[in-house]
Parts: sequence; structure tokens; C-alpha cells
Amino acid sequence: MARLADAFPNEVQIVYRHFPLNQIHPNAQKSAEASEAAGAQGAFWQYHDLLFERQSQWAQLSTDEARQFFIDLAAELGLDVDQFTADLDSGAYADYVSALEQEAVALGLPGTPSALVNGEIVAGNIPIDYTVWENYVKTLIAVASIPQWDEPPEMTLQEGKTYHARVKMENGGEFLIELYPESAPQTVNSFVFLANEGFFDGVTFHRVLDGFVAQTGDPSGTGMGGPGYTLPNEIDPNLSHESEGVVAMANRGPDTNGSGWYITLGPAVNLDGDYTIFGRVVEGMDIVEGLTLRDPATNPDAPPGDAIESITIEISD
Amino acid sequence: MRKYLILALLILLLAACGSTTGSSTTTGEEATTAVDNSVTPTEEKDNNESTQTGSISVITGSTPEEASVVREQDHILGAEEPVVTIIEYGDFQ
Repeated sequence: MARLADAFPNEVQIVYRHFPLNQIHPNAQKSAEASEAAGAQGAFWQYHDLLFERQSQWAQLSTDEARQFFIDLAAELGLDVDQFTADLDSGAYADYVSALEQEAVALGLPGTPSALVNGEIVAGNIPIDYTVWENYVKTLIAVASIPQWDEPPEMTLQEGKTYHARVKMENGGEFLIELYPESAPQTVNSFVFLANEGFFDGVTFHRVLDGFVAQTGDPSGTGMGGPGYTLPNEIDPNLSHESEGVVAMANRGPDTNGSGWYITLGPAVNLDGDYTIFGRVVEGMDIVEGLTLRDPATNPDAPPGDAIESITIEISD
Repeated sequence: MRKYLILALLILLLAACGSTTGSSTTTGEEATTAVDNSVTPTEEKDNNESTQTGSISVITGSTPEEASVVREQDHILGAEEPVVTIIEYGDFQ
């Protein structure tokens, strides 16, 4: 975890709390108290690091031997040994450690290490590979930079008008989407709002699967980001993913639509009924078909996908 | 003899319980979902447990929201105004 703080010094904060597994680690409680005693002298993290590094040396010691080991560590760090020993022997931090243990239990944490990451529990399958954490943190940082709104925009679509979205790509290509406000009014309204806000400017087609879909709409480029609000599904039974060029909303289940959307690259009728269709490509499908293939599931380190320069909304009678 | 056998069985049962190790955490791919990463301080609630010990008084939480509040007594590394806060619960082993 400390490596993450070093790697992202302006974005990441690491907090350590005790969760002594006293039933299986006989010296867990006292090791935690010892670290607190060291912390009282400004040396928590040094002591923390040494405890981890040398766990094989103290984990199975008797109570008296472990006590001496902890005291010796304090001496090694140049701490006030008399004060440290007094704190350790008096149990000055025993209740504090126990309170944190009880908190962990109340949270339902199954063991160690467990973590809260931005308020969400990551436990049980917490990754031990640094690279996994690094990528996870990068995603969170990218998502955190996305503009957010508390609720969907007010309805501003004009009845009887025709709406198109002209998508300009950074590589110079351009295609035109006819929007379906009558079939998906909230979705089109949101899309228009976000486009006018410049939300999609610079956003990549982060997932382009040959013959299936080209997906975009997330400024973080991960599929995890959104605008801060969700929209309900708006399924028009008269619309189908029956060919290429169908434009629809990505989601993670019913009524979880955010800003992600995709264009079909071929028939995909299996998607009918689960994804809000809100338009179709009427010009420039060759540009869409030429998007760089990219599958983050199989190659998460692939270069960023082709980026949208801007989306301009065109309103006509 | 029977008493010792029961004790031995209990010891074996406790030894079988282990701390968990992790497998990779994967991020979802299929859709975009609004993510609220803000960590806003919550007001202290009456039903939170409060423990007074020595010079440390801590109010712990029983929900992720409550527990996510970083406290004065916490041991902290890294950014003062973080985008990502990772609270690790560990036992040095």
C-alpha cells in the first residue's frame, strides 16, 4: 500500500487500522498495541514495516518472548524504551486496538488484509499483486475526474423537431447519428445535454469488438465512469439491433444507463429488450467500421482507442 | 481423556480458520455507472460506539460509510486531499 502512496502522491491516501486475528495469531493483539506505542513516539510506520518484514520471527513466540521482541524493536528504532515498555505493559492501547477489531467485525470483514476503498469494502478477494492495485487506483483516479451531476438534466427537447448528432473524430473522420427522441426521450435528452456540455470531447472508443459493437461514452476510458446520474431503460419494441449502425446505451443491468453508448458493427438481436436504442448511424458508417479494434478485457494495456473530438447536435424541422 | 480430546478438536478447529488472501479484483466493463467517489465527513451519530482508553477516544463505525471517515488517531500516508482513500485493516501477518 505504501508503494501506492509513493506512486500517486497527490491522489492516494493510505490509512492503516488494526484487525488483530486473535483466534489464530496469538501475538496479534500485542503486536498491534506495540505499533501504537511506537506511534505515540512518532514511529508507527517504521515499526509497522519492521513487524511485517519480521513476522516470521515473532508470530509464534511465547507471550513473554514476543513482548521482548517488540521492546527490542523499539530499541532498534531508537525509541524511548522505558516509555514504550510502560505503554505496552499497561495496555494503554489495548482498548483502542480492540475497538478497531470490533469495527472490522461489525463491517463483516472476513479477515486480513481487507480494505475500504473510497467507502467500499474490498475484502475476501483483495488483490495482493501491486500491478492490480495500481491499475485499480488509476481507474479510480480517472473516474474521479469526470464531471458529475446529481440528477438527469431537465427536458429540453423540442417536440416535432428532428435531432442529429454529428460526431467528429480526432483523426479527422466524421459520422452522423439520427437520434430517436420519440422512442427514448430521456436518453436522447441526456445525450444532447452531455454533448452540448462537451462531455464526450476527447472520449475514446475504448471497446471495439469486430463485428459486434464499438463502445464509448466514458471519459475515463474504462467503462466504469459516468455522469453522476442514471437513466431508466427506454425500450421501444419497434426497434431492434438488427443491423450495423444501431446506437444504444451501455448499462450494467436494468435502469443503470449513464453516459456509455455503443454502435453495432453487425446484427446483435440478442441485445434487444435489454439496451435502450436511441439512434442510428445515417452517414459515415465506414468511419465507424474503421475504428481501431480494442478489447480491454483481453488487453487492458492496449493504447487508448480512437477519440471523439466533438459531438455537435443539429436540430431541424 | 475425553476432555482433552474435545480440547484438541477445538484447537484443530481454530487452526483451520485462516486469514484470507486475495485474488485479483476485476473492474466491470460492460457499462458506465455513475461513481460517486466523494468521501464526505459524516456527523457523529449517537448510536456509534465510543471507546475511551488512555489518551485515545475513538468512535468506530459499523457501516462502510461511518468507517470511511478518516480519524485523527488513524495512521496515514500520502495525499492530504486524496482522490482515492484506501483504509487497510491488517494484523501484521
